[in-house]
Amino acid sequence: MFWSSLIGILVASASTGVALGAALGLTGLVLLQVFSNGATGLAVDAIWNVFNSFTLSAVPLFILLGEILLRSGVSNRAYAAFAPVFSKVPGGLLHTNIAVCTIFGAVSGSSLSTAAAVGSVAYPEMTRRGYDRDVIVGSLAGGGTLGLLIPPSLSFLIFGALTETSIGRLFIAGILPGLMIGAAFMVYIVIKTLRHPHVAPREDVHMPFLAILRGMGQVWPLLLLILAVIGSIIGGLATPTEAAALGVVLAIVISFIWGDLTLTSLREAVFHATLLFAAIGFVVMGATILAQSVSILGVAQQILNVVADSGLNRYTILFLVVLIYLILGCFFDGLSLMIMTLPVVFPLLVGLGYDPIWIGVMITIVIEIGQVTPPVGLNLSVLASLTNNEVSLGRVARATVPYWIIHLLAIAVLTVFPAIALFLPDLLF
Amino acid sequence: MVAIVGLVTTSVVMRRIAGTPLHITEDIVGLLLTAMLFLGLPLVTLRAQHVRVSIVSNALEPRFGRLVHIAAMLVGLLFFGWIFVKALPWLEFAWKRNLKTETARLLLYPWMTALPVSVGLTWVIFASRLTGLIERERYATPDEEATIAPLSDTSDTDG
Amino acid sequence: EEWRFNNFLPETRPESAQLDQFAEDVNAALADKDFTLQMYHGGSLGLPNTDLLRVVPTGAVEMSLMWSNYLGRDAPELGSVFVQGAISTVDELKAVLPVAQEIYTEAYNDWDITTVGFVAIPTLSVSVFCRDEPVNTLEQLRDVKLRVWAREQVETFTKLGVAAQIVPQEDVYVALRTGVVDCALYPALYAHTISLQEVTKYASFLYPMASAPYTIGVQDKLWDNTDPEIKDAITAAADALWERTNQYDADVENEMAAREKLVAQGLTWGEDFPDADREQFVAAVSETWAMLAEEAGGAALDYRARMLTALGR
Ligand code: NA
Ligand code: NA
Repeated sequence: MFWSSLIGILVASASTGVALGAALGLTGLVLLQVFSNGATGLAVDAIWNVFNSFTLSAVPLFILLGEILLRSGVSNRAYAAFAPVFSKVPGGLLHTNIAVCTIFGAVSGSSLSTAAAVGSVAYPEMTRRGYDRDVIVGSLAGGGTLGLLIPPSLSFLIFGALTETSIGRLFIAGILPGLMIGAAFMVYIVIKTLRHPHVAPREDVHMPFLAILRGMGQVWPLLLLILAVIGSIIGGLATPTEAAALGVVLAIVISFIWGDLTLTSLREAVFHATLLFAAIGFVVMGATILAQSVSILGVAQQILNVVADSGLNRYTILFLVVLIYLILGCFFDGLSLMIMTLPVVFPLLVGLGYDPIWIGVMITIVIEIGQVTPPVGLNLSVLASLTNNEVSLGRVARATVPYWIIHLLAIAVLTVFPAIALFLPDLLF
Repeated sequence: MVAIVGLVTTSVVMRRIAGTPLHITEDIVGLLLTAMLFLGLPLVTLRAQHVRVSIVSNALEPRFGRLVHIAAMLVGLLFFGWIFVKALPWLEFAWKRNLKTETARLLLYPWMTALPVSVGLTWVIFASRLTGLIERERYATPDEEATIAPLSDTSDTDG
Repeated sequence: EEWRFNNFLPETRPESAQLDQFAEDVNAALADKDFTLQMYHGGSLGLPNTDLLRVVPTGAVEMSLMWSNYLGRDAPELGSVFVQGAISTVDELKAVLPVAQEIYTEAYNDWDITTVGFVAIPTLSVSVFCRDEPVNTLEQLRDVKLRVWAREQVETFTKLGVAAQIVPQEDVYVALRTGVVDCALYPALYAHTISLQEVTKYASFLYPMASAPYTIGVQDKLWDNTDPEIKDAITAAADALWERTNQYDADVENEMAAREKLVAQGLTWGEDFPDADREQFVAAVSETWAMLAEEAGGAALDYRARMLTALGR
């Protein structure tokens, strides 16, 4: 009854082509009305709580940062400098998306900020260079998920606090799997572009090595910016939100001096970033209402309890748990899903002999998968917005499927070789 | 947005250089973020830049275009109308009790007002689309777009 | 019929085990009735603990753990009954508990919430954990940035000339690692839950703290319409829960064990803050308490007066 209402209303309302946020939100409201004693007022509190947040403000700031670099021509120059480096590699600049997402993952705690920050620059620059739109957004949506696995990571912080496991160990445990998944993404890009060369044009600039170096030398202000943002976080100067704000200020300075930023284009950048954030925010808003309406009923816990009491062997149970996460991941954003399920899943898996730190890594990966499964896949929504719906949500989702499969493979590999996650923390702690 | 950047930067500088943290930063930034979202929501709606699921509606478009459009507008009207109705007592609660933010002790209701106002405006936009006062949404397809869409603000205004 | 119990504490906390026992007692007593109480730990029902005054009265969740000090935004009068640090010894705590329980029952009643029971919180020792250098005087504390968890602490430390800022629980680790704050106020008993020993090297005891008990709330209407037999079973189990938790003999022992464990993990435990500093602190807390009650107005002033009378102050 509950699931048929949820799916029925959601499918019916979303397929009218209305804004996804409205479809998700309306479904949530109906569920609250019918199953929670008419407590639809909760929806308003839920919306207010999610946006009245210091941490979330990193997302629009990083979007603004990208907009400024874009409008001042700074990012264009940077890509022009980087392009020759990758001209020999199949996939070309697509690899920069993964690489930059990995680096950015080391700065930001969330997968949403990572996708927003990298995507706002990479998408327009790469479409201009003739890369296939779907392939670009796929690599960005996939790459963005690395933000949660590579420390610092919001999901490890919450996991650690809820389960009393060491946050330091969790952070370190995320590094190797994160790099492994990043590398797998790159391998996939190579294979994909070898089979379909047209998706990533080979730029026929044959520059001598020295010229490449000289080109790189010209983008030093941008490298300085990246260094300043990352450095201020690692060096203990600022939190990610603060670093994003500092980054914006620095980007304005650099773009005025070194690029062609004018007051008019700065104003446009602010305006456009606000609109983008509102479009993304609307989806977040609907997703929040839906998550609230479902989480308050405890249905996810009930399903997991059935699995817990089933008495099946440890691998079957792990398989079922992953499967449940995949299904729930369609309807929920990552972090709310984690808070909802951990109290059942964590003791269940620990009881079956899985290592607590390993569980943290595994859950983070399934949650990343949830970030890229429609209809509630916030990374997908961010990218659809960034492309101004040139690439629709459905197309972004389809383009992301290979990355989704790589995540699943990573879980399988980690199950067979838990040491990939546990080796570093055991070494260092 | 400008205020958020300014405030957060000032706060970092104050903490690092002057050694005095600004207690109010986090509270205000959170509030500014909500203000920004609720300011942007009607604008995005007016410009029809929403994230949407278009597979089904595109398939139905040729034969039932008008009906699908009406259904979509009704979903929007129902959602925003519902939230609006629920937001009024919510706002009243904050107003009557003079609720303040936890740290900075800022009065909440002036900020909270943005929610019903924004939701109400968005409702009006949906209503105008339904009744034909505003031209109905026309979703951009990649082919009609300039190559670098996010740069060109002209190609995506339908309002 | 199934009732959901919303517990915002992580499942790993001792209080959660006590609540599990409570649910078991209720379910055992009502085994032949169509009634079960199902626990949901760690905030897994998705309800923020600061919003519970908006949720419980709607009946959207049947039963919930509530803590008055989290509810200050919606009900300042509830937030100013117990001000953290104002009550420090077990004797003082035992003196005010009956009055506090009475006040809470009345105050929640005004919100259409029936208080069906209480859960006592152990008395805690609050310490200052620092990342770079040992800090164990107020003088030294004035030179660093201190993380606190509640607004009343900001007020108190500001009075003492210390730059305090609220950092939410889940951000403490990164805030200390990145140097957003130099020190954090935290009870040693719970320090391991946020891996504090990994990001700080030194700790010193600052002040003892007795806390307001948690209450267990049910929407008035739901409670009034509930079968008396079910009500009796719940109240009986709640009384037993209170008996089990309202014990403070092991508190000091547990605190010492927690400190030892942290030291074994590499933390250096320093001298306590001097008594003179602690007196300054207590004086500042009293001022804060008066100020908060004043600010909340209405019933808050009456509540404070009753608490002070019980304390004999
Ligand atoms: Na990260
Ligand atoms: Na999802």
